[in-house]
Amino acid sequence: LVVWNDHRLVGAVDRGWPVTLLVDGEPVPAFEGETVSAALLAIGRRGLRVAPRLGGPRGMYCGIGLCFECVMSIDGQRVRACQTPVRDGMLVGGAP
Amino acid sequence: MTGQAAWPLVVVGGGPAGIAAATEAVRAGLRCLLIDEAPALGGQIYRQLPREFRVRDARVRGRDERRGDVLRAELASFADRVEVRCGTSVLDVVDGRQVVCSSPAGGTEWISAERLILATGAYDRPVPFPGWTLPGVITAGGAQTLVKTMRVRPGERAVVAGTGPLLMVVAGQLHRAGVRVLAVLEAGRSAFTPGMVGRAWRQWGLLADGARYRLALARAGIPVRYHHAVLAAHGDGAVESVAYGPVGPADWRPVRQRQVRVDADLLVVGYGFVPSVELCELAGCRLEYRARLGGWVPVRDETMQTTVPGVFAAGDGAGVAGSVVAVEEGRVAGITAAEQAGVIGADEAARRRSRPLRRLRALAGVRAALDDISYPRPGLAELATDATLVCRCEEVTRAEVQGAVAEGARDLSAVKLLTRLGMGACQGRNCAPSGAAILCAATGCGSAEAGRINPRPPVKPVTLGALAR
Repeated sequence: LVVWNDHRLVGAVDRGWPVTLLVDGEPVPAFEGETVSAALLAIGRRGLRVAPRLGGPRGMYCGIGLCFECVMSIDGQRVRACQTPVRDGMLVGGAP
Repeated sequence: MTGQAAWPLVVVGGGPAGIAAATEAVRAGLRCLLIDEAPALGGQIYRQLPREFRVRDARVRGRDERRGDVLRAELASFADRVEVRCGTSVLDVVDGRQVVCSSPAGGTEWISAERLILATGAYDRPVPFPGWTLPGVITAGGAQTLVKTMRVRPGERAVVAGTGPLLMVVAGQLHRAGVRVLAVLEAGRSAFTPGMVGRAWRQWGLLADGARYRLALARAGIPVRYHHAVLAAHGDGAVESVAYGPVGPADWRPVRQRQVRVDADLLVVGYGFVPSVELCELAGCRLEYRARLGGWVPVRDETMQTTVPGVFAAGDGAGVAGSVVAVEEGRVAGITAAEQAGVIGADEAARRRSRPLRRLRALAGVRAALDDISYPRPGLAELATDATLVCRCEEVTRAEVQGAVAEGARDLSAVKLLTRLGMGACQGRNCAPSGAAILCAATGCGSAEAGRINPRPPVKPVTLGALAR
């Protein structure tokens, strides 16, 4: 696994067990307890989807589950990445 | 619908107000159900680390975490009389007495409540400006969640913009997390005058924290620019640079000629908070527009009861005033609910209410002074340009909103019909406040006349499968 840009704060807090997400087919490391949006920001991925009408890039905005900007296709469901905890083998992709 | 007996009290929202309300109700002897959407109690401000994380160095836990622990411990001492249901969203309130909720495990469920306390909290005020939809632009609340709860740096180089003491707190937390904070932009003036901090130090957690972080920012050489605002975020695919400049001190109108541009991959925006009043409205409570309290809020009496008997509202969801006020309002609501249920008498209830009511009166002065600095000014509506998206979900631009006004729209419902503004998944939470501001700027009407985008159940999207269960 290549972690090319890890923004996790280390020390002081131990994370949960390591897991692997499949994001657009690529393995992405994460830790139990993290949300999908946090795991993606931790590897430097800010854009999470493309808006359907005008095609603008979108990412996590409110972070508390209200704005629905971070909606992704996660295990086949359109759900909010900031409210969805990671799970080993989870399939994550952009959703319109 | 289940045949279960009604709960004497259901509290919706497990933040400071909801925990305090449940605590006082069960202390008085009333059984109570406390519902929250998150995996654990605390709300946004007292959010706990994920269960799977282990704290190795207790110093990492900040003041908010410790304040939350005290509140949670108080409730836990009455654990036999309170049921806590986390991970559960409330979708609707029917007839003011039936709470419709949904959880991934349990599907949809109807719960009868003889009394209801709505402590639904608030969310960051959305203020559109060019580039605000780019990835890398996040709210102050979102940035705090990432740093404090997820322990992730949202970027490397940040600009923090908006108004209020929370800006200093977030900038300080980002700095401590190793993010290079390039500038803090406060649209208003400084809240940290010696008199203000002296008065507020003991009572107002956020202002005191803000003052501490303000000192830390000064020591780190991070510039704080008063009467400045972010004008645009630029980037291809995500934020790469941020333009900011001065705003008029009285009306916050941007002065675009004097802007500067800095390279940044993170822009944190916090223009105060908007109360979440959807459930109040669905419960039939009358709302009124109070700019100083964040916008539309339920009309309440001194015991936090709304215009619907037996339905109470407490905390930021009933008018933004911060966690210290929220706790005291929650206590008053919980005590009064117990009085209405007859588990304590009127004299005893009045005696128990006197301390939190006294605290609320003492806090009112500081609160008014802070509101004077931070309530949104008309110039904020001018940060957007014609092409700026006002409604993120349905991708409606400012020009389209103004076009609807030109066609005769005089309130938000009419704008919604003509443009689809507010019809997306967020149900208008992210476009109603700024849509109203743009409408008012175009027509000269007051915010109250702009009206609201009416919430429709379910207030949070839920799959048809879950509804059918």
